[in-house]
Amino acid sequence: MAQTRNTIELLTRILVENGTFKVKAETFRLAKFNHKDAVAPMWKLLFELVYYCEFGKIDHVSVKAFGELSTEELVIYVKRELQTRGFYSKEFASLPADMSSGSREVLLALGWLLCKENIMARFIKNCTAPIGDDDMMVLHMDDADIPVVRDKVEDSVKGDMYTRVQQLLLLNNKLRLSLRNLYGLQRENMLLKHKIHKATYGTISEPSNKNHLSEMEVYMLRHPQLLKNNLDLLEQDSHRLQNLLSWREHEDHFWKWMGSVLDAKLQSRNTNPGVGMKASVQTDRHSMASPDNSTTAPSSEPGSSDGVRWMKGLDQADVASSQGDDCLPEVDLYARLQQSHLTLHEAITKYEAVVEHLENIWQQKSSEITDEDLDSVLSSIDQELSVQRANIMLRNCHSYMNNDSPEDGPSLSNCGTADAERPQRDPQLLYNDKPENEQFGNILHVGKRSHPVGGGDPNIRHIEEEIRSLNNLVERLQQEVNDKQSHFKHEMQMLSAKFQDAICIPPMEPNC
Amino acid sequence: MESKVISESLTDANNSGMWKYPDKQQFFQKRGSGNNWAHGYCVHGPKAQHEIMNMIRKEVEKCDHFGGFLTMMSLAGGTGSGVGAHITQCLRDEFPHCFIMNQVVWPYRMGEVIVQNYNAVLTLSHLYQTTDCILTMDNDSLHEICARLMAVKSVSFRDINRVISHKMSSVLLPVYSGLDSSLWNSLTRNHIGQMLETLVPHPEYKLLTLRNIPQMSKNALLYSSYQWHGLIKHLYQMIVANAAYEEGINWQIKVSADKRDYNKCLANLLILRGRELENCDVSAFSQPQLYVPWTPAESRFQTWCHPREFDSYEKSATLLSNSQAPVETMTAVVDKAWTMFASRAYVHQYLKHGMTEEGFVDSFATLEQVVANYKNLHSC
Repeated sequence: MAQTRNTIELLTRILVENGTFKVKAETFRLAKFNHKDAVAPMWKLLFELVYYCEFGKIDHVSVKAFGELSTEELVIYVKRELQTRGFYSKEFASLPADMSSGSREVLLALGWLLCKENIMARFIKNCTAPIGDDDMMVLHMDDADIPVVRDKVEDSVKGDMYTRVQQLLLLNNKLRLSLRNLYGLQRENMLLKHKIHKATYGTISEPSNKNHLSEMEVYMLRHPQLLKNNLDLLEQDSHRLQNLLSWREHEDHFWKWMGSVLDAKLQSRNTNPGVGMKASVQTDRHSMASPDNSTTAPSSEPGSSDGVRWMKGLDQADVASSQGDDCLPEVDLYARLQQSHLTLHEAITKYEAVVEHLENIWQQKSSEITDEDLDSVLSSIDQELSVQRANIMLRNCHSYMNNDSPEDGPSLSNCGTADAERPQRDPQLLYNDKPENEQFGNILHVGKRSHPVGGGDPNIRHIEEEIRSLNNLVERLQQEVNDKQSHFKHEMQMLSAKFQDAICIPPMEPNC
Repeated sequence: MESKVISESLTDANNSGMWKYPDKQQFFQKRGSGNNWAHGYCVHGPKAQHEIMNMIRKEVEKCDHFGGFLTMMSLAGGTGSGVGAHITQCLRDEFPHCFIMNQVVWPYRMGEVIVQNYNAVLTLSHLYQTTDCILTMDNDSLHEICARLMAVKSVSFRDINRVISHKMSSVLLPVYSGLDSSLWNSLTRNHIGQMLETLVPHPEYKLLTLRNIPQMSKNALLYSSYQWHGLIKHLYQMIVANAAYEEGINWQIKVSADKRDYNKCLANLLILRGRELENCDVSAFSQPQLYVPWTPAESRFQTWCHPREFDSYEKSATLLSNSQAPVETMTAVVDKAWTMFASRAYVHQYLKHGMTEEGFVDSFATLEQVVANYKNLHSC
């Protein structure tokens, strides 16, 4: 298993060759166990790789940026970049911004980034030798600071209409002239290239379809002192490529190891550490080592399976202290989420079939049906609709009245006169022959029932008062009934006027 | 046409031992156009077109770097101006993406050719529609330069041509596009193109003038020395007061917002050649009142330079400018031609070669529009 360590060391070498700072393989091992010492270097490495993904190289700007950004800014930047790239890990996102813990999460994020952004392939791409290319920019690196004449167009178009038109004409023509300039230079470039290719035609017989020298090669021949520089560059490149090649061969070890890191994380999530464990862990910290340890760090002590347990205990303690016990609910949530996802999926598949079926029917029908049919169907639907609407409106009237009269007799009597003032809207009133009598009788009956409660002579006066007040009530109700009658009559007439096809026969018509 | 002139130039070149023109790439005929622009433009031009364009194509194909065309012609005659205008049109058709710069020379005001104003009007109006820029010089001021500055007793065309070639080469020789010596790592890559981009950004304003300082005879040169400060001060006043040479400049004219007597510019390009370039201050040319307000401030003025002495002058400054300066001469010429045209003098000579009176009127209209445009620069 020393292979794993070698692979990780190879990885660090490759990373350094491509511009990152010098990270030790040991740091990776520490990060696996969520060790504090590994947090800062892992963040830095992750930052540099994110920067590489963004800009294609790690240059002095990234070094400067790393120096200038505060720890918090750096962490936030990296987190955001990873999120935009699709790394949605809750644990990673909730890592503390002061780089105090969570090196394992950073390691996992790093592995994810390596895999997702295909960083190794990009490294390989960077290594291709420039000699075969027709790109001469390599030679003009020193001229790169040729001043770019920048005409600021912003705010230049202003003033009155005439001025603006003149300005735009001028800018337009300037652009045209620049394009012509560009065209001339392009033409010159092509002519000179053609000359080179023509002059060197047949000088090489490569298996590729090219049988002339590239501009770069001709330039090298012209300036032999550059050949040595280029040779060095090429050797460096070939060294890098060698490393990348062996990475290709051995990368499975690394990913296996990353798998073990993930396992470690899951384990630490599932088991809850003992409370007293931490102290003992701390005493044993220096002697800790793991089987993974022995693979990644050959200097670790043999036979240290106990240490591993301790180490795991430490990891769990760290996890528990930093994340609390929200792991289990989370798992539960996750399961629920998955379940609901499944049900949703099932429902969708189920209804999809139905929808499809309906769509088929619809298509069939729509192909069968003619315009005339459609018209007749439409008119019949309209008719039905209007009838239905009328019914619904009527029903609404009823339900409105029903809703407002939930009280029955006893409640009325209990509340006495105060309650009696509340308008009574019995739907029966609408249809009864003699609603006022019914109402009266009802109330009288209630009044009678309340008689024994009062009882005795002194109560007679009270009863009389009661009767009087009830008579008043009856009168008022009578009045109200009349009002309502006329109101609803009016309403019915309005309704019947609305629907030509519906015939409305008001039930109280004969009674009036 | 002009066979004598051409063979003379060829022998001159051969005798110089420094360069020569390619064999059989010259075009000439026995008969000229007889100072009749229509004869040149409508008869000789189309007849010679095929042969001339073939030669040009061959030469262009030989170029590694093809910057554009510079045609040099007079305005007064029939051959140079008539055939020249026609060939310029052919060039534009054949090479739509190249730069064409025409250098033309106004005839003497009291010239020997009676129809020179007709010819000038017709040539300029046709050129204005096809070429990218017209660099104007006039025989009168060139003559003055020869007589006063170069101390030539009896001025010949050869002397005038020498002055013209001095002026032109001071512009066309390679330069660095910037005064700052840290930028001196590459010469202008597309000289004419870059020049035109700076100077004629607006399609309606294509007239350029050229002023250079100092200009003197070889003998005087030995006993004189100049400072950049003095040269630039003079050159600045020359453009402001619209003087063609450094003697008798009107120093009273000043650039200010409320005055209108100075020479308003669209763009200026200053080319400095000589030593001690780091000491010169060219900020006077950046003065905003000197320029039309609708030109972008960054593209009004540029300075190009080269630390090498030019034509045995220790220091020399050349100013190419797109300004109101040519308008004066142009107005005079158009007015004279119009007076003649009003009485239809000599018009039948043109009509018989295929010109029409509408063609004349169109040409007048074109040039009057140009004059009006340039005159309006002060009011906007």
